[in-house]
Amino acid sequence: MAQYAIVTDLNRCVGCLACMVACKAVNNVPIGSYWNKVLRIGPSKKAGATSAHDVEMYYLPVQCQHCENPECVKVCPTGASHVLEDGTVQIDKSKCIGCQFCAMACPYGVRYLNEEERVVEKCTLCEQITAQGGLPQCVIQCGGRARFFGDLEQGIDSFEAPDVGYDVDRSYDNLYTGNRVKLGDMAKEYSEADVYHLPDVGNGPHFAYILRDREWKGGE
Amino acid sequence: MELQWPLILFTTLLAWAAGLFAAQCVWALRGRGAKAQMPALIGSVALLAVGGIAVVFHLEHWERIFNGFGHMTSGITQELIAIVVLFVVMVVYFVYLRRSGDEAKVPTWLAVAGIVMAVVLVVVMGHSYMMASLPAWDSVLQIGSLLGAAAAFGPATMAVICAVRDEASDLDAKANLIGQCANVVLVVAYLVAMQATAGSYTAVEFWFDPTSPTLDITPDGSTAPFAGASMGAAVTAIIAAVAGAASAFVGKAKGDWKLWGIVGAACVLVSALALRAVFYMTGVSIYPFF
Ligand code: SF4
Ligand code: SF4
Ligand code: SF4
Repeated sequence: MAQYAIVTDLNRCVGCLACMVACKAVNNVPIGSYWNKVLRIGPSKKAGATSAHDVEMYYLPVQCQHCENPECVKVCPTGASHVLEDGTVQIDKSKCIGCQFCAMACPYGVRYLNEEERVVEKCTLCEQITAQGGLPQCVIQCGGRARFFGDLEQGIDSFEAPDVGYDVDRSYDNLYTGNRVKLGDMAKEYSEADVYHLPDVGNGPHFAYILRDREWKGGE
Repeated sequence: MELQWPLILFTTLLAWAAGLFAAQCVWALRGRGAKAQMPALIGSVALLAVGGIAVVFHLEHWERIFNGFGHMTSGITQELIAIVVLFVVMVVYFVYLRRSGDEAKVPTWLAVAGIVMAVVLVVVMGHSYMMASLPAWDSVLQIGSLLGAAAAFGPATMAVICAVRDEASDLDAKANLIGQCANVVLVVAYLVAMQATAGSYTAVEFWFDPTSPTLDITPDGSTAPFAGASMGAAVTAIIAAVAGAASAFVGKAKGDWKLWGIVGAACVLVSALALRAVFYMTGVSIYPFF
C-alpha cells in the first residue's frame, strides 16, 4: 500500500502553465478538457493593506486530488472508477457507461466526458510513467520546480522532483528515472500551518499545497 | 450544470409511476375504484417503462452495464434494485387482480407493500442525487420535492381513471386535495432550501482561469433558484404547483374529475419539470473554479 500524491510549493510556482501543457501533450487530453489547470487566485488585498496596490496573489495548479474517500468512486455504479493499491483513483474505461455521476459528485469538477470515446476521464497521476519508477509529466516539466511527487505515507519531505543545477545529468531518460531532489532538501522552510488542501466535503483530498507568508484563499 | 433532459424525464416519470401505483393501492385499501385498478396498473407500468427508456438516452455506453454494474454504494445501483423490487410487487399485484376478477381485490399486505415500495423507490431515487459536492442537491427536501410530485400525480391520475370507469368516490376529492397541497408545500420548501445554500460555495474575491481569459467572474446567481436564469423556472414550478392545488379544489366543487384530474396532473407535470430544471441550473460545485 502507498498513497501517491503531488505536493505543490506555491511560493515557487511561477504560473508558467508548463504542467498544464505537459499533461495535455503526454496524455492526449482532448481539446476543451483539462486534467490539470493552473488557476490564479487573487490579486487580493494584503492583511492591513493601506492602498489598493498593496496586493498579493498566487497560482494554484488544480487536478484530481486522488482523495481518501473519493466521492466519484462511491457513486460509480459499475466500479469503473476505483482506488488502486497505490492510493490513486483510476477509471477502467471498458466498464464506464458514461453516466457522469462521478463528474457531478467530484467537488472540484476535474472530470470530463471524452466526447469521442464517450467515457469519463481525468488525471491518472501518469500511472503509465510512475509504474516504471518515473515521475508524473507535470512534475517532470514544472518550470518553477514547484511540484513534487511521492508517497504520503513517507511524509511530504520525501517527495521528489527532477534535480536542478549545472552539473546534474539532465538527459531525457534521466528525467524519468534518475536525478532526483527531495522536497525536504530543496524547499525553503515551512511549517505544518503552511500546508493546505482544497476544500474537503468528506472526500479527503490528498494533494497538498505549501504556501508561506501569504493568505490561503477559499477555506481549509 | 446543463439541463440533463433524460434524467429530468426519468425522475419525473418515475415519481409519476410510483405515485400512481401508491394511489391505486390506497384506493384498493379503501375498497374503491375496482374497475380502475387494472388500467391504473397498466398506466404505472407504462410510465415506469417510458422513464426507463428516457434514462438510457443519458448513458453514453448503456451496453457496458454488463461489464460490472452493481457497485452497491452507488445511488444508481440502489435505484435499479428499488425499481426491480417495485416491479416485482406490481407483477404480484397483477396476478392478484387477475385472480379476483371483477371484484379487483388485492390483499391488504400487498397494497401496503405497494405503497411502501413506491415511497422507497422515490426516496432512493432522490437520495442518489444527494452529493456533498453540489449543495443545492444535497438536501432531504430534494427527496421531499419528488415525494410531493408523486403524491400529487397519483391521486390526479387515479381520479381521471376512476371517472372514465364510472367509479367516482369520496376518495377523489380527499386524496387530490391532500396530494396537491402537499406538493405545493414540498416544492416551495425545496426551493427555499436551495436558496439557503448561498454560503456553501468556496469564494475568492478575484481569480483567473487561463483557459477562459475573458470569463466574467462576477457571480451570476446560478447557485440561487430565485436569481439569474433559473428565476423563471422556479416561479413556474411554484405557480404550476399552486394551480394544481386549485384544480383539486375546483374538481371537488364540480365533481368532474375527468377534466380537473387531467388539469391537475398537467399542472404537476409542468411544476415537476420546471423544478427539476431549476435543480440542474443550481447544480453548482462547491469549488466552482475549475
Ligand atoms: S478529486 Fe474528484 S475525481 Fe479525483 S478522487 Fe477526488 S472526488 Fe474523485
Ligand atoms: S461515468 Fe463512468 S466512471 Fe463515472 S460514475 Fe459513470 S460509470 Fe463510473
Ligand atoms: S509547471 Fe510548475 S511553475 Fe509552472 S504552473 Fe505548473 S506548478 Fe507552477
